[in-house]
Amino acid sequence: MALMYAILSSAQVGINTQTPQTTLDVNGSIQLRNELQVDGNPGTAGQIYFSQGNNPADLNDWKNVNVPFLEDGQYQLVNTYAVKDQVGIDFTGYTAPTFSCSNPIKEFPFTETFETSNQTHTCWTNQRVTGTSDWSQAAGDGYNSGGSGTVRYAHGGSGLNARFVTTNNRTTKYISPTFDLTNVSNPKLSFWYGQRANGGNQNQLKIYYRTTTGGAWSQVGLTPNSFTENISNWTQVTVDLPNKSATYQIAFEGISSGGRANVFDDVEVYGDSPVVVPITDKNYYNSALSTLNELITAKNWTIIPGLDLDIKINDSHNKISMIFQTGVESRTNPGNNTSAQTEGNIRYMCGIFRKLKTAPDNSAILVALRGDQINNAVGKENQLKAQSIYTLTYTVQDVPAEEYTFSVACRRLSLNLTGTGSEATSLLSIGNAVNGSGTGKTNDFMLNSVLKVDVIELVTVTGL
Amino acid sequence: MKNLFHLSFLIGTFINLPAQVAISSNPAYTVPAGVDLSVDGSITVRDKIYAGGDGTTLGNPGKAGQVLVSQGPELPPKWRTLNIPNIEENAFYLIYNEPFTDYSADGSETNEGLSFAATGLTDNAPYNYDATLTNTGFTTINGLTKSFTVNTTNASQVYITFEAVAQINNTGTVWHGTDYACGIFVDDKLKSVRRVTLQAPTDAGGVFMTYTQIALVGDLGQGTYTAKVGCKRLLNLSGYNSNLGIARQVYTPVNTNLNNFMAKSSLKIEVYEIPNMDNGTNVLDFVPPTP
Repeated sequence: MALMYAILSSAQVGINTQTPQTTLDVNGSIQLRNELQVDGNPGTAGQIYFSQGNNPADLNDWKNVNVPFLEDGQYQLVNTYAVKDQVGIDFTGYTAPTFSCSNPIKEFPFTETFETSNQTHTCWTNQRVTGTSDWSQAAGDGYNSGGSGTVRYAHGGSGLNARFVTTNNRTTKYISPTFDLTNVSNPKLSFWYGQRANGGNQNQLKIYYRTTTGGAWSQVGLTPNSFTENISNWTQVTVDLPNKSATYQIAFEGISSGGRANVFDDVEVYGDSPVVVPITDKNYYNSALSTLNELITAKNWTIIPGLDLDIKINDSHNKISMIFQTGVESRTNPGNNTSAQTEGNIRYMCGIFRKLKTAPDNSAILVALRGDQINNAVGKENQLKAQSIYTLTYTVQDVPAEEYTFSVACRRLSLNLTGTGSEATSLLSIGNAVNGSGTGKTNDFMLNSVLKVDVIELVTVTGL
Repeated sequence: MKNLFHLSFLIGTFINLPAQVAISSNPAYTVPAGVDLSVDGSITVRDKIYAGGDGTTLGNPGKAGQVLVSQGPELPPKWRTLNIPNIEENAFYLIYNEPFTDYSADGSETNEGLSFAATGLTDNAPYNYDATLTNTGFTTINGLTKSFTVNTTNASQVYITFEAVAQINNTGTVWHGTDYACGIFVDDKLKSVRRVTLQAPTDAGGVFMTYTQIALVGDLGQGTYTAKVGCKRLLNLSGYNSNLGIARQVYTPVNTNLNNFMAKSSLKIEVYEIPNMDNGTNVLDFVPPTP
């Protein structure tokens, strides 16, 4: 076909234009179905066509670049953040706080059975209004007549209840422990009561509340607002508690006219949903499970102080790959330094938390977690402790594009021992050495922790 | 006077020229073999360049930011996206990444990794940062010795991951265990060390575990360094008196549940740098002419 070519013997050719500006001027698009040679050179695969401005064609050429190519839909490592720490967390002995009536009750529902096993039963106090009689905690109303279901016995048939007196002309309030109702939605009071007549004599009962310790009493909104009837069988009453406060108290006022003693039992204070106050003591062994996205305040998580990373994510199509490693050391037996360790372990959990960089610390949510355990080194001296390594590798996807702070926090789950030791004395350190406690063979450096976060984003080639 | 030749046509018309077309003011100009259109001069394209396509399918006009890349002779060029990271100030970027496994120089897997006898142990822990290889007394896994380079004069972070399987030759009738430590050294200075216990209860023989260690080294300036991994057996527990293998199987009978290949160790070195913005590596393999 060598004869089948045309030489357009002209200096300039225009396509769809009468004023071509170059040798060939296409006023429109062109399509290359085959190679594009520049000065006879089609380039080798992977070379890029480079302009070098208004220079001769041999300078506008195919060139290599030391840069790889991307395809739509690939993920690309955008940025890496890494940090290490050897301050760590020292978990020491845990002793449950002792119960005190002076601390407001914060967990609901609250139940008072007046049994001796119910530790709040000692928190009820008397306030005499008329006369010198007090409420007591006893079985039934003290009048030995009547069958089951009557107030002859405590509510439920056995045990103890609150009991007033049979003496005429006595009025005394029996005051509940203090409640912190701040977090209780639509608080309610329910209780069981009874008051039997003795001939024509009938005791009465009124229910009061106050919002501050030592404040004025108001009656709760019952209709009628006092119980005046002869009640032989345990009867339940439920009433809304108005004007909730952090120092809320309820009073049961017995008004004796010489009838059988007033009784009440199984008092409950509750709201629309339960209120649980997490134990924030870092040393607490909390075997409750954790779930992704739980708040750092939901359990007794403790942050490893030096591992916070500020991380910027630019594309919401991403994979965030995290790796955390730390040394762990424990001593479950506080006894003789040179005696041998026996079988046992401490279980714990570490997780990675994420919050918006500008948000408060308590808004951090759990994005990665694993539990593990450190086993005692059986046969090793107690003072040499046990050592182990904890590694957490985790990837999350499609984190919204924001600036974040990532942190690592850990908590203890349980202590499991065959030999000597207790929650009150066992030691666990994550990210540093157990302090003191005999002559060790480790230091903080040997147990340090490392966090690395890779930000991998989706390659998008936008716009036509 | 310019000698103009116009190929102008109306919508709906086309000119089907012969197989080879040349545009030149030189009557003797010839079109090289295999070329369909040869322009002896410059080309102006006032709209898109479609790459590929055929008589029924339009080629690809590319997307914003793509470059025209040769696919070699006999193929149309292709629009592609360059992988050029968006470098931000004071951020770390992966500059060097090399993972590798332990291989003995003589090709024998039985000479890979380490085996420690039970006798003559000294527990010289604890170890401090930058302690020398000599002072720690660690034995190196020779196949994992590797050099790497930090290019930047800005801050760098070198992230080294070591993994191996450790095994003891315990019998499975009594509690047995041994303490050992492994360290990651850079230029024979200790940068990371972990101490662990490998122990077995009475009902397990030839117990082994995977040992993973990560070092993050942030204090290396510009230069070339050598990474090494070394280990030391420190202390026997419960009267254990047989071998400890690190990256080597030591249980007798051999190859029960574990062999040398399965115990093989690996090391990965990643160098993250804050790039020198004014003195970075040139992405081009040529020097563009000065305008």
